[in-house]
Amino acid sequence: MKTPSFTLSFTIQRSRLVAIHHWFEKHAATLVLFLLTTFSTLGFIFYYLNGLGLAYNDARSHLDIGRRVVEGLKPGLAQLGSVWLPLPHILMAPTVWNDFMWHSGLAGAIQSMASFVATALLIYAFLRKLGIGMLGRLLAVAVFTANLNILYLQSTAMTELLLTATMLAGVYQLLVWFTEERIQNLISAGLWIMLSSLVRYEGWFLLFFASLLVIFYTWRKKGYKVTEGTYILFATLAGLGIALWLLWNALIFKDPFYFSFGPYSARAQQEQLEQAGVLATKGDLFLSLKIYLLALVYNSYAFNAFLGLLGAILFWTDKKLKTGVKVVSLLLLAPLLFNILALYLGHSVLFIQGVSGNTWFNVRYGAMMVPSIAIFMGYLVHRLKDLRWVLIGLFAFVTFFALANGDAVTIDDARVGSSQKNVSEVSGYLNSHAKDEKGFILISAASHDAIIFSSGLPMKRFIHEGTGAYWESATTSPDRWARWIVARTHDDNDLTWKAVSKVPTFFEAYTLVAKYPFADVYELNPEFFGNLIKEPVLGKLK
Amino acid sequence: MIKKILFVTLYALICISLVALAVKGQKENPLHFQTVKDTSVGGPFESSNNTSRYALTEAIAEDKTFFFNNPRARFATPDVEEYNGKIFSIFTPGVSFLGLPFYFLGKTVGLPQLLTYSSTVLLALINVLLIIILARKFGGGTYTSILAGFLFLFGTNALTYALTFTQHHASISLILLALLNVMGERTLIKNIYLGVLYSAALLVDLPNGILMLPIIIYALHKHLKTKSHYENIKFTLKLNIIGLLIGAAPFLTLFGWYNYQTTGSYIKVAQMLGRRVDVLPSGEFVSRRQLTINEDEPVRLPFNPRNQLSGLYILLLSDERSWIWYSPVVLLGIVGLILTSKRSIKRSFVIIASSVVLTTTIAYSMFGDPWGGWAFGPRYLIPAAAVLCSGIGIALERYKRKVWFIIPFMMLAMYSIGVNVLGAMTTTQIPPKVEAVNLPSPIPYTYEYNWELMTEKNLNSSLFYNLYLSDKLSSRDFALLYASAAFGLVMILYLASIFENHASLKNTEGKGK
Repeated sequence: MKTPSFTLSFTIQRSRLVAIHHWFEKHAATLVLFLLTTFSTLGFIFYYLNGLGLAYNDARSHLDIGRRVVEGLKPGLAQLGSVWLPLPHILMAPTVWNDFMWHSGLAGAIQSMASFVATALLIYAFLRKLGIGMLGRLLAVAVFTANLNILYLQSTAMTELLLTATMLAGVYQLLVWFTEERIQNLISAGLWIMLSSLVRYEGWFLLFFASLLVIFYTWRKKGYKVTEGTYILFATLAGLGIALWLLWNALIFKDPFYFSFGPYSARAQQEQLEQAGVLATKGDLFLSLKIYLLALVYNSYAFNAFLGLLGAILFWTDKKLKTGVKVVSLLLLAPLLFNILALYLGHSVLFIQGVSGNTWFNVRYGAMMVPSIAIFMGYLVHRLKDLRWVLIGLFAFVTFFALANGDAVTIDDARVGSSQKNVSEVSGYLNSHAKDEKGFILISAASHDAIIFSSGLPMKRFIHEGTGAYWESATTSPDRWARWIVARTHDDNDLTWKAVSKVPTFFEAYTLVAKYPFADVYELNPEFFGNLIKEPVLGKLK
Repeated sequence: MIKKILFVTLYALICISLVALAVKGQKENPLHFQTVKDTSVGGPFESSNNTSRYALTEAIAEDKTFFFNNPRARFATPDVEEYNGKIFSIFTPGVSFLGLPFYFLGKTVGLPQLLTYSSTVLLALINVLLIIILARKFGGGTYTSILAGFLFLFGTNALTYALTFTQHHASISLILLALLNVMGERTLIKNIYLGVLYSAALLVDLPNGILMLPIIIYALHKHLKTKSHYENIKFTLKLNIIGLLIGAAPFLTLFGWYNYQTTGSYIKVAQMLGRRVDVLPSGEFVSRRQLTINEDEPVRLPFNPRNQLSGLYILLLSDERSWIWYSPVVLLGIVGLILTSKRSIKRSFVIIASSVVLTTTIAYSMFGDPWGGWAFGPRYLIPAAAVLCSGIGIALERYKRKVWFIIPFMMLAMYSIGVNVLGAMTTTQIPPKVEAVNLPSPIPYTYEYNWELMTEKNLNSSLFYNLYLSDKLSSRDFALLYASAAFGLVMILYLASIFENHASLKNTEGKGK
């Protein structure tokens, strides 16, 4: 190293630089894995410590479902429920028995965290398969990971990131199959799509969409006979999850479509919303498109969304790319198409503040397009060589302000939107009054899962709809079984109230001891304590 | 050659005269606004981003202080801040400092306001010159480059803001000078000069620090060279990079000292604190702190991506502020920049220029108030318009004989000049839609309001008009004549360019080199 005439110079052997480059090329994915694992862990700790990790009402419900499988008055697989798909809760089962894992949310978040790292690696691999340079690949990883909405969702027990990881894994395997035509990639794609179909219903749409592409592409290239065999091979595994879910519903609820038409289904929820006149997107394609695109933009940041769009246009008009690659990449749009369709058909609801009144609801659905946007941005940066550093600089600029200002619409959704439910008062009451006393609490899990979770009490203290004989007994003779009853007074949508309010002795036996916005607490009067059952005597009778 | 020089000189004089005709003022003896602080619509003191800066100039000149007495505080409100019971301007002091010599000069002839504001007019004219130089460097012809500069001043809201005492033209001058500075090799002197420009830009307006970042990063990057020597690669860092710091030091020191005097901290800038006091008609102030600041809330930076979608809409598409509605001719500059980018010798420079445009647009799209308060056109995008206008020269040079380009160009130029003359002759005080429709008596939120003021109230803010023509011509007729003259000059320049034998772009056609 020398400093002649106002310069500082040093020399590196070309071979050493090449070696460094090769080493980096070889180990970049490992480095990304290591860095993102650290990043993910820190993210979880951050949101755990500031209490936001469990802000979503749904996150608490997911954790409760997982917990009921392993602990409660009637534990077992039947507790997996009927509406939400089962994979997230099955994955929770090995850890959710631990009180810390349950109440910290880590039992559910750990899957999101692993999915966060996996999705980033899949974005990297997807772009490498397309021949995109290191810079484009790393930028795409940064677009996905340096997004506060994604960082927040990976720290919670929500299902969006598990879905994006399984979906993207399926799409990636299809990309490899389209380019290399190795049958194991098709089988692998089927496996991942099957898993995605057990996480959220977007996975079902992906299966449908992927099926169309597989059929179309194979038929065009190889004719009907090969198409038939190929599709059966793909669909047998890819569709297994859906078949099992239908079977599960038929066995447990005596109706294979119970998840869709049952009393707790999204459809039933949407019907209530429609009656309340807030399902504005139903039948309005333009509004559905607008609402979802806004959710997408708020989740991914407008600058990234715009560049993603530009990248997608360049991608699909790139004459150098194989048709198969372009066709399979259409699957990256699956969450976009599904959500617009679901909003249009009235199967889903999404509120954007300023468009749908003054609240947010389910705005996190837009986050499911962030991996696709990241991929198209990576491609764009690779294509526009001259503007590469300008785009990277502007991305860094926007991201800096997003992080510095804590711009996460998902947190707003969870904290102040309709997705939140601050039940701390009623759960706090239960904790302070029931923790050291004996006796069951009668409550509807469908209405008040967040209260069950936030109370900090073991699941076996609660009699809810999933406890079979306990529920049936307690709703007909509450004074024999329930020392406390939590219900929304005079609201027949609350199954507990609906049942106990018809019991003649209810008003004589119970006193309203606490009244809160989300639920009221009734306590059994002391003179009835004599007949009260305080232990789980029914076992697994029913 | 002599004919060309004569033509250009004559043209420059006409250009200066045209701007002078638009300078704001009212007849009276002595001239209105020189001693009277009249903040009525259409006057030079109509908005607080003028008055706050002017009050600072006046306070320094008259009382040797940065703090405002009661009348000045009232005059400058709400763009004021309070520290230790003293009121001062919320803005960075660069524009006010720059206005000082003009104020002193004006005071000696009894025209302090007029001369102080002429500092902005002078900067606007310098900006025209800088755009011409920039367009020439991009490969524009003499006349097409002049046309580009002319369209910047008369076809965008640059004209409206040339008549105010605001930061826009000073910022543009510094940005354009910095852009020209980064062309070619880096030397110690050029680095010192760039450091001066950057720090001066901060003194003029804080966001300039962000808008000029691409230029600074590019300049830094140019100090690192790699060279292949057989099996080795040599990396060289030019140490004259230190010149940037040397150049920046004086103005940064001045800025730090000013901040220390006003906020008690070298790095605490009033603009970052927000408007926290209201000055009452008596000149006394009340704190807004309880109303606006929640001490538990984390500090928010001024740019937030959450605002970006609506910000981009406001700045790029809406009838409230966008270029499409106020100066669509500017958009033709994009064509010019794309054409220039195809020449490898100019490519990196065009990319830096484009990055200034993009940074400006992206930054202000994230700003909570992309409208720029009550304003005329997209005032925050004026620096981006300046860079884009330089591209008009290249586009024109390439397509000046193509009817499909010239007809839309002329129509867009005519429309842009018309709209912006309307703004310059009336007011900058157009409210955002959300405010306009909620006023007790709602007013239009586009240039329709300027038209209403001009046609229904015969308002004209031109001093020349008010002194000599108000009893002979209606305000509308004067504006029409003015716009016609400006457009006539565009036509003359265009015709001159047709006859100019300029071959620089011919070499580039289709070669991509």
